[in-house]
Amino acid sequence: MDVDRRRRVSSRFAPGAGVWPNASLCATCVDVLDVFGAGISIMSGHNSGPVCSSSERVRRLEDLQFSLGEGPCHDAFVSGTVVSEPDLANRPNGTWPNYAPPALDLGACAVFALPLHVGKGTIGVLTLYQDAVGLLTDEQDADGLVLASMLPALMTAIQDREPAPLLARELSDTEAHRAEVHQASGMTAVQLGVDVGEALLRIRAHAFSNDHTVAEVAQEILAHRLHLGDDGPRRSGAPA
Amino acid sequence: MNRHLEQAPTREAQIVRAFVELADTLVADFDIIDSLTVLAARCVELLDTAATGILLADSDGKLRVIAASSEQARLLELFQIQNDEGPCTEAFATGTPVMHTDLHAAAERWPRFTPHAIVAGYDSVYAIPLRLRGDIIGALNLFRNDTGSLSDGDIDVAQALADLASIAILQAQAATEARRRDEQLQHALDSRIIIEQAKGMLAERAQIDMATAFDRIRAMSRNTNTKLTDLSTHIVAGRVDLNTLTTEPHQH
Repeated sequence: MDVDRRRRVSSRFAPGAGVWPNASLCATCVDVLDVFGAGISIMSGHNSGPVCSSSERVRRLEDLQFSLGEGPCHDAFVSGTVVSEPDLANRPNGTWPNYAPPALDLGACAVFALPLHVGKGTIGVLTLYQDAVGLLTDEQDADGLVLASMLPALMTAIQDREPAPLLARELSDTEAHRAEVHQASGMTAVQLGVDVGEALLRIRAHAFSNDHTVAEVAQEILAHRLHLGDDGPRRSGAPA
Repeated sequence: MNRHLEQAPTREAQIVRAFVELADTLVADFDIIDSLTVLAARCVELLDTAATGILLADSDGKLRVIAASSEQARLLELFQIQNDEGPCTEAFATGTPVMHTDLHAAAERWPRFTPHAIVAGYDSVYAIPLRLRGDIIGALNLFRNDTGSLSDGDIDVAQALADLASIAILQAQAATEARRRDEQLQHALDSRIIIEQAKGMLAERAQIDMATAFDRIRAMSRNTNTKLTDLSTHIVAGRVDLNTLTTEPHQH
């Protein structure tokens, strides 16, 4: 049974299925599982990188977690276990106070985050979104776990074709504008005399309090239209 | 015969015990140096030999002493590497075992190695290449306190121990490779992010655009023979004076 399931799921990723090597991984996940949306991220320490999203809406849902630094993806990575929230509007323990309201606005009613394991570690997360409240079916659940177990090997195989240490183009969602966010973190770090981690937190805080995405804030910083030092009290003689 | 077995383990039993012990060291998270150091010690106990050294080629093909049964043996191995002369380096270079039954007559063959070996008290030597998938990856060296040849039985056991050393090295390499592959995606992500951060820092400091900032970092990476990721890591950690990158990098 389990072997059959694995064979059935993996056949969708076979060379003839059109996925390999161009890796429209998320679309195939949605197809296999029949869910509203799917997103895959590579995660490492405090870093995360979007691999793909099945739709623009999912891209924004994924970006929301990156902007806020909280959400199911983050929890699944940290815990290394599946995180299920079948009813985002009624969370029993009030998790993700910042993430849940805008996620609901974007049409996500339930969310399931599956860690991607390699060896003893977690290298990323597959996040599944549903536009209706409720748990995944047993079938979706089982297929999802098979997918999550296959994805790391598939992603590693794609990365293997790339001259190290650059991340393979197929494993980086070029529409997600994260490069600009990291560039803006570097600029802000120099402007404020803080480290890049602190700079990213400042960018996130500014985005949150002004109801912008971090990508939008980053664009403003890169265009020299926004200088985060202007946010708080001005300090004379701050490091250049 | 049977009475003997009860009193002291036979040679066969000792050999089997040594192999089981060495196989036991090859579990997850084993340390290759520890395993080969045990192996070197067992060679001395099991074979008619006074000291053992094991050489292993690194990724550049340069030999290193990875284990030895004594400090004296380690120094003799080191001496062979430094002078590129001696039975062990010869076994590695030729891929065939090297036996010399009387080192007192070996001065012509190994003029620098021979006097050191004799002063250390060794009169004969036997070196076996370590093979892995057709490649020669190192050599096992047995030093003896007497002239003459090892017995055929000892030669067989020595070859089996050399094979075990090769298996241990294969296992260690596979474990390293698996770890590298496990972390490969995360490394690639981290590299990508840190390069962007470094570009942003330099662009702001030098008041240049991102493309120019990247060109400067890449030029410095080439000029200083530092990997782009490593240089970016240094920049982001504040270990590189950004002022050195604010001007065109032509002369260096």
